[in-house]
Amino acid sequence: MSLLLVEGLEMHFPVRGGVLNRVVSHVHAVNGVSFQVQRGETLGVVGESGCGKSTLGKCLVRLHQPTGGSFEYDGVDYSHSNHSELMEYRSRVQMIFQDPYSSLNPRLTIRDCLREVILFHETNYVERGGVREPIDADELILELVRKVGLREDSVDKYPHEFSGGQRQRIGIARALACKPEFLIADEPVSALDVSIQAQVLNLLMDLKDEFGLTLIFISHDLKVIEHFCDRVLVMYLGSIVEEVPCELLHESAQHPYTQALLGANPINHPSEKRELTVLEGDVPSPFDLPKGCAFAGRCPIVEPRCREARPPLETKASGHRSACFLID
Amino acid sequence: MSTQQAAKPVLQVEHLSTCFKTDQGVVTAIDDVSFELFAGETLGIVGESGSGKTVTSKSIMRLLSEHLSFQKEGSVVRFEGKNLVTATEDEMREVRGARIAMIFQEPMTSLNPVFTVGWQLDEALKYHTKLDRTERKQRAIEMLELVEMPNAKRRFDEYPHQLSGGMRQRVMIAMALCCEPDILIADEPTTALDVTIQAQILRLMDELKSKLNTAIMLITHDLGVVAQTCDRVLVMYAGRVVEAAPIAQLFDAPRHPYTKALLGSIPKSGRREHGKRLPTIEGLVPSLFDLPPGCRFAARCAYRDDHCDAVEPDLTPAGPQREVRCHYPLEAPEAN
Repeated sequence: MSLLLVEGLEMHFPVRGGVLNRVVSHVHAVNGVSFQVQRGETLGVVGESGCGKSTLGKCLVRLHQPTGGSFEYDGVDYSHSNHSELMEYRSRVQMIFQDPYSSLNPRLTIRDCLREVILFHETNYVERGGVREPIDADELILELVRKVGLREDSVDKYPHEFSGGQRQRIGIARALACKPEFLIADEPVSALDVSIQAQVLNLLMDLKDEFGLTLIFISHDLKVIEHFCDRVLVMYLGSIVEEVPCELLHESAQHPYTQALLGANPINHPSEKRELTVLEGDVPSPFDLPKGCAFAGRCPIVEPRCREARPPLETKASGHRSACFLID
Repeated sequence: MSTQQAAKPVLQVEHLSTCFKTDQGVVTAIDDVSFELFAGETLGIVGESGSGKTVTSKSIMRLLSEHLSFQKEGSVVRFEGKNLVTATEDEMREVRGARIAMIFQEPMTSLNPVFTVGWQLDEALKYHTKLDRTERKQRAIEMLELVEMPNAKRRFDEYPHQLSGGMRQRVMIAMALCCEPDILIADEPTTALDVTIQAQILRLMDELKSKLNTAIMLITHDLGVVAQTCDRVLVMYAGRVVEAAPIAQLFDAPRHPYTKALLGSIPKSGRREHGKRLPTIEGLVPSLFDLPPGCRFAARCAYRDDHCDAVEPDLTPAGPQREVRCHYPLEAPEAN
């Protein structure tokens, strides 16, 4: 059984306007997204800005209340659960945010920041012979700080005293403080320099092995996803257009959008120099979605029927789903 | 490129050092940077944040505050026989925008939100050309068409907020190119953009380069972009140029340990290295306030010894068109 089962998840944000401040339209950020995550795997979510990948991540920890669809975690539907169930869920599923500058409270030292999580989720208790015994929260804090590769004497510093990479490590420590099973990492390395990016990716890889974590890794960088993840969901304008194992990304990915992303990715070495695939135009507005395929307006192989109906996400091979009329 | 190398460079930067006055004292952001730029070539400047890439470009354009920064004695930016470091503000105004143009990183903040696209394009033409109003408008629309702006005529009267990120960057490029400059300085032109839009902009810059024979200085942290577009590369670290080389040689045989480590730490596409640990550069870039006496990369270098900690290496020639700042440059592989 899969650990996370997402069924037709939708997130439509109302847009208000006019004199009476009525809802005039909706931003269709996520449109009926369905997928599964198996225990212990790393699922990548890739797409351009505005494709709904961050909104999807936030819906899955209920930072947004999804407007449609549902998700089940470990067999329980948490998409409409009450507050106490949600808190229990969030002690198992945690999120790492993109911007290490704005996602830490500037007025809390690292110790206070981590202690807050530990005390709230009561991770400073151990079961000994059926009895819950408290352990020293400071011990846990130091252990966490060591785990993410920061110096122990940094616990009494404030976020502004750290570099971007170090702050991202603090963000990871905070996510791990409640001993979660599942991490949703929203662009965790995008704000970092390449050499620091590699350090943080290695750290995530080590922690995943050590704690047996399951991960959803959201990124716009296909190279990072390819390196880090087992499977990738390619999103475009709020929908999944292709799902493919990372190993087969280059061989079997067929959706023209995935192809375009692969082709637009800068090369590894000047000897591989080629014409970059250039898609004309921009992503359509999420206010009024096209009737047919969302990608039809930029697709190099578009046919009239693509503009009439939306292609369903069909299974092409084991672990490979694709939403396009023109591939088989 | 070899034919153009023999020609005279359009821009010569010699011993350029820029210092900032801060509360904690004077800090040297770029130290003794020298390079040449030739017509029709793309020179990449790569480095991590804080390595001095942007300060280099802003020093050339003299866009840094004169109250907060200064250039050290002996800094020369030679352009058409003039030294831009000591040029007057009036002389600079003739150069900026008209002869050397710049594209900035954030197309969102570098356009003025209260004026139309057309007004902003017109401004540069008004200062630098003798065209009359209708001619200027015609020229501005031509430029928008040249950068493949959809509906150029309509966009002329629109405001920046009505455009997407990619379109705003096109406007920036159109503004930069409308006086047909000799040099285009592009400071992270695609960093804020999505990959598919990045591909559009890179192709556009490449086409314009061959059409107008402009020399491009491309500042970026993305080695993939460098591999795709540049002819030569300067690698900067903590305010110093640590390596300069033609593009293929830099990727095939980096001579400086930092370059090698930097190239190693990027995930490669299509190499089936899934799940492997990435080679990293441990540690952090040294603070410019507290630079080591020796090599600035020594603390993170796998090849360092006591000599590296004590004496800073000079930038020394290492083969044709190559320079490296290291006591123990990595071996070049056998010529093949």
